[in-house]
Amino acid sequence: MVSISQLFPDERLERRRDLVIRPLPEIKMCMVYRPRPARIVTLNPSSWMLLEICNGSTVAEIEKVYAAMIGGKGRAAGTDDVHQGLQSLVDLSLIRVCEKRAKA
Amino acid sequence: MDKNELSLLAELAANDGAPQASILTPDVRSGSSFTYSGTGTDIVPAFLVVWFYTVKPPKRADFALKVNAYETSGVLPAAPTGIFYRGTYSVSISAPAPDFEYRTVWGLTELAKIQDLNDHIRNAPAQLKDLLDLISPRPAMRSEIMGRTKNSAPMISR
Repeated sequence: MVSISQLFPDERLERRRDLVIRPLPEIKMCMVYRPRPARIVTLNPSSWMLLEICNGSTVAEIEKVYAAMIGGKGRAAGTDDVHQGLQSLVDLSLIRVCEKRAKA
Repeated sequence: MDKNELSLLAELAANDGAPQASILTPDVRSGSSFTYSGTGTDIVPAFLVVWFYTVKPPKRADFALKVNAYETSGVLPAAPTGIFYRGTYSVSISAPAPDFEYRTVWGLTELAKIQDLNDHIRNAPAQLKDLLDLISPRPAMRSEIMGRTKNSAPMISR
């Protein structure tokens, strides 16, 4: 299934505060307990990193930080991948848009 | 998460693929339960811990080399630690777990040695770490703990 991101660059994203995050770096994974409705979500390191940097910054800022950090370790981050990764975290209700973009 | 932790995470992410998030589907299984008494020996450990896992096909040749490097490295845990490496195997036919092509078997002289095995993995020597790094995180590794039948008693349905 192809996911088309609905996020815009100036939307601010933040992590839900009621998540229980359990890093499992030994197996390159992070497990997240999300209440209401209760689910356990598994994240690979790239998705886990996106979750960690969703601190109220805009989508564009998150992309920039992510690309800089991944790039600093020798891998180029695809913009589409980051958009889809963020959209996936929104769809799973791990992060939310905390500020709607201004109307044009 | 502080800056240092984020940098370590970036290292992991850089060696991984695009972001992936998915809801965990519980896979609840029941099994036989036993209590145990007695201990084992170096030759026949009282307990075996078996890992079930897979390695992505493009990495399998390298994995075989790393396994060989570990097995001939001279850093295998042995007496008197109470934990023993019992080999890594490629599975030819497996009806119960066809998605997992590899097994690694550890021996323990007593159940309490599970903690020592944990510590050994946590502080893995380089040769073991090289091997662990090639194990695919998905599907997630499964494991079994088995105790020698001569030492076992059913916990229920006596």
